[in-house]
Amino acid sequence: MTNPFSSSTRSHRRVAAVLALAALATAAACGNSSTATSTTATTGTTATTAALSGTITVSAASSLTGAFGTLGTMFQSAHPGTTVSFNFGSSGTLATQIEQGAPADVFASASTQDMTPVQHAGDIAGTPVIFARNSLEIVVKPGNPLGIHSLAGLDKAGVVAICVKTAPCGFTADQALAKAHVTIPTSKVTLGQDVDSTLAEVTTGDADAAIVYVTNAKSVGTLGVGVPIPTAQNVPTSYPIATVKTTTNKALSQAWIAYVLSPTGQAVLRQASFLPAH
Amino acid sequence: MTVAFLAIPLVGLLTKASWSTLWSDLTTPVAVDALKLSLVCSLWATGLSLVLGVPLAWVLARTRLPGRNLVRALTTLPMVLPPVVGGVALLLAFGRDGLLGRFLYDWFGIQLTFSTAGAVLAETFVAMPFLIITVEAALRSMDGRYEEAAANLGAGRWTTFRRVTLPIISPSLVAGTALTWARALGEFGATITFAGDIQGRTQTLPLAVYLALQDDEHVAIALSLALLAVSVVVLVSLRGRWLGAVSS
Repeated sequence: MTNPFSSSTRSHRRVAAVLALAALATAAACGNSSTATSTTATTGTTATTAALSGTITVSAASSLTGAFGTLGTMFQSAHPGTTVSFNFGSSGTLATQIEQGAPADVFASASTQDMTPVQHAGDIAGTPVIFARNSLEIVVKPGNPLGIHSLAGLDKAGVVAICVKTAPCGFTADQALAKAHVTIPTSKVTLGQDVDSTLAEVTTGDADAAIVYVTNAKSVGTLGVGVPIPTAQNVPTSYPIATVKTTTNKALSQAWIAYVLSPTGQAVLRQASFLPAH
Repeated sequence: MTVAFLAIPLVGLLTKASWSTLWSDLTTPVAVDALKLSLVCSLWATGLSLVLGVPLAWVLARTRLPGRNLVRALTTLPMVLPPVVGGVALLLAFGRDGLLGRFLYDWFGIQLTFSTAGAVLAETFVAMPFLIITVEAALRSMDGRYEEAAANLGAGRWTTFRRVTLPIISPSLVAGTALTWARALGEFGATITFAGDIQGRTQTLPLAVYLALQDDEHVAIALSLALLAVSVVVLVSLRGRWLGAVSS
């Protein structure tokens, strides 16, 4: 009886196994290369559903965490085989990251003031498009125990949380306070790196008030109470979105932007209390 | 290669510094406030660590109290806990709605969060274990016969401690104190979570660096250099002693 495991048979099996693995690996690699297969134009997502694939990283302002999170899930189910990962943070920080070469595909900023330097540095492909607007609101502890009803009323607060001035929520808050002729002493202001951590100072911390966006105030639930700021004192901000020049998946990036601008995308943003772009 | 791994970031810091504007960067209001506050808070934290930590180290090393091992584990915990987690824990304990904090606030009107005292508390929490560990190790490894001899000659416990024990462990005590101070100076996560980021009140050097990174990068680098200089001075003056060795 011949030995089924004779050395020549064994080496044949080994070669066959290696070839099979190589074939699998090549197939996987081909399947993942996105640029070759996508042929989309910027509009008309439905026609190109089958062609979209790959991964993109969207650097987005932290105020977009809820809305973009929802949109991301919806987009990925509508386009199986695609992955949209998010890098949320303060728009100022995100802009710096992109200028210094961070691998983002799309940049969604909470203000045009953070998008413009990135454009001037030549890191944006095409022209940014405004997809939403936001304005400021004060958030206080549940039940508003200190009775703060306006920016002027913030002098009743022991500690007020405001975003750092390099974040859009920060510089618009400073502008709103100037418009209302209100000065809060530095010793009463704690600075938050982005709007989410600023809000957290009231919802989970001991700050008495925070100046955040309307979208944050509307989503705070039982953890806080929103105090509106009248239009005369308020400072709205426009959110631009654009493809980053060094994107590795232009088609998917443009499809994402189109999705955000589509009625579906705008409906989700509206539900999160963002104002329309106009 | 390991040395390069450790050295290259420091070299990067030195080369990217804006040496011509260094003095003006270090004298901006934000920088001056941060430097003063860091000095005050870290010295207070070190003082508190000495007052609270040395007796505890003595109890752990010299007595046979039950539950010593648990206490020792508890005192080491802040060393391994991520600092921001320490901050969250402090918030849950000493915040206005916290376990203990609610009584401090409701009965005495004391609020530790967003205060300089809060920053000191956060720094003490993370830095004191370094002192306890160093001093306990020194006490354990010293020759107990000196203390016995002193007792035999009629010295009381406190006199023995003051005139026999302390001089013997002083190198380790000094090393432990320096390490504790450096750790308190560099604390970020617990401070920003518990005490917030208020210029002049709780915005210590590391917090100011974090802020300046977005705003004035060269100020951030200047402040980082200040911290680096302090760390180098501490390490050079310790000259390898902080590992707990005792000179007899």
